[in-house]
Amino acid sequence: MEPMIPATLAELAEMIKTAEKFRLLAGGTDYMVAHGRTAPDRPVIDLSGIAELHGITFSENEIVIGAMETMSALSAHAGLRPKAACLCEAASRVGSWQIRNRATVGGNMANASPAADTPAALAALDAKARLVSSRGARMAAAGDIPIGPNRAAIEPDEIIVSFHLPIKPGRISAFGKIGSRTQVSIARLNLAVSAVLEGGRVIEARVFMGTLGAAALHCPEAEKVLVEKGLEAEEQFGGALAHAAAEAIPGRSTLAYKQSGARALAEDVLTGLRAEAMKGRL
Amino acid sequence: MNIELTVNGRLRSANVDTSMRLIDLLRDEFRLTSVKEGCGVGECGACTVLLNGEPVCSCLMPAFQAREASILTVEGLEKNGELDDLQKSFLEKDATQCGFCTPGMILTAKALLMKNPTPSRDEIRTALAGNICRCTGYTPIIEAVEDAAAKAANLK
Repeated sequence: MEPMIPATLAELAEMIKTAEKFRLLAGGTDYMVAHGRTAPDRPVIDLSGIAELHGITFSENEIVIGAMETMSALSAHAGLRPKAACLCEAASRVGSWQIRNRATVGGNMANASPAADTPAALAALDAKARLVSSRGARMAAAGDIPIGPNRAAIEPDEIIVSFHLPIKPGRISAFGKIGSRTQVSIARLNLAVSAVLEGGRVIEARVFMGTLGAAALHCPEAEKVLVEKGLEAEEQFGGALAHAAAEAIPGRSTLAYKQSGARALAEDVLTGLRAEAMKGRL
Repeated sequence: MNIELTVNGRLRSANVDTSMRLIDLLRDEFRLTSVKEGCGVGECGACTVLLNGEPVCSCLMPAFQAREASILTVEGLEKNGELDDLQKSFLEKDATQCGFCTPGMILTAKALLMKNPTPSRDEIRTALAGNICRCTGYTPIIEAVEDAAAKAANLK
């Protein structure tokens, strides 16, 4: 079977409308592990030729990241790091250099592995995904897209075109991850946190933890700790995360490990946030 | 479908289908057997080639996605019968044993040195994290990369 290679979003929309069943191929780093050299069971639509899916652009209010941007592009982007540190850090911790050169931010979200690293970071930055189908376009909160193991709240005929990150003055963020080794590792647990500081106080926080059944578990209790107690409250913050883990995967054999990991990540990520705050003199 | 790509500086064309991986094209069609298949799932780095100067796992890339790209394998490093400095350093520092990981290791290191001619030891370790060696214990490999970087710096 030959791949279908649209050059524009309009061509892609036409292919999606006519093909009854199909697979979308982005960087291939998940697709090839699953399918390798076996002949595809349905037509493959390749997204690598569509220029509209690329680019990282800044406006006054938002950053727009094309869905086909790679983990390497995100982690090395000098302009992105000051405004979206947790996303750059998450991207730089995905797989190996080889994987990061192909793996895309859109693919990481659409594949919806519970252990994916960038969805939690996008959610913590209040990113919205722009989803397009022949029926039109809609925006969906990044945190609402991963809904279970390899299940994403994206319709079969929709594709992720871009992620839109609001720019907020005084916002800092950090990402932490625990895997079986420090590099080239699938997350056993990951944590992305953003906080808006005003006069040295946290006035708003966003906390998302990954690997607990879905790629981005919202942790409002931990957010409350940061707003009420600040960036020093490691123990209470870790306690809130451990509690969120217990509610997400009650009775799971790995829960004790995840809770212990959550407390350790709480320390790492708050240390990272305090360093960010110092850098930005917030 | 027919694709065109540059392989080791030479324009090539090939007929590929959806399920042909880049490694299959390079090994089976172009007979570039320095490209090794270790794990086949992107964990070992033995199949690393440079795609437009960037290391990628050729086992994780459909061949048709390499259309119009420039690919470098170890066969393309030698110039006028002389090995690349990095290859010489690998030999001098005994950085190979069984040799299976060596082509991928050299290409990832090559990409690193092209971007960052004077990497720190940590930067070398991070760059090579996706290339697994089961023989050497890595120390001679890191020393070989440092050696090649130092020699290139001294030439300036």
